[in-house]
Amino acid sequence: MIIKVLYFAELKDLTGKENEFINIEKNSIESVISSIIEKHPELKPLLIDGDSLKLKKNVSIAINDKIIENNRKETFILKENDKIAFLLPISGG
Amino acid sequence: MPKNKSKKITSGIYDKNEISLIDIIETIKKNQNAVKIGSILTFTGIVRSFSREGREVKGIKIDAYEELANQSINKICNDLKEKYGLIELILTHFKGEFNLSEDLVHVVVASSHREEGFKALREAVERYKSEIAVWKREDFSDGTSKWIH
Repeated sequence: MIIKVLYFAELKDLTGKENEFINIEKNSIESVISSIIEKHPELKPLLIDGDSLKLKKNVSIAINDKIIENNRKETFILKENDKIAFLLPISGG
Repeated sequence: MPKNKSKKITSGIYDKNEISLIDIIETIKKNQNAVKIGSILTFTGIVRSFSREGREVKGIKIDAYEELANQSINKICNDLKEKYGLIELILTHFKGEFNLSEDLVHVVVASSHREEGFKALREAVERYKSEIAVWKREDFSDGTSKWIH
């Protein structure tokens, strides 16, 4: 299944990309995390704790321009062409 | 992204230098209820030459998730307009790369009386700092950079 990943701020700097399409095996957010960390290992310390695939508590997720509540992160079912972004803590000007 | 063709400014994320504080104030003065305005208060966040840790800063980069940030900005403006009975509240945040002293954000509050304007302005500033999907990278004079979280 193909989805689009958006990168902002530090994640954009580290990947050198504003976005990319990735092919995931399962329709879970965990599958996205696994895929992008494999492609961009430098994102790992920013997104997850240790060797698990669980997101750090301070990382939010937006799917199709809407923030997903924390209690839905592990059960959310992605669809083809969904747009997902991992959001580090914000810091306005 | 909001555009500036007619100079009627709406709240949202803009490119650096896309609009000015004067553009915002002129928009407010064209509001259909402009004659009821007795107070216009403004806050402008600009680039400072040192970080919170005291490091020398030579510039700032701002990145934004525009769709999300615009949703949050509109919510802040609508909440505060209703809460304080404001005539207008326009909040614009810029993105791009900035030199020292350049404008990063404008918050402009128009109200009939100054009291509610001051309260709303303070609350709008505190809320945009914590609610909108915008990130700041400090570029230091020694050539290193750090995203602030």
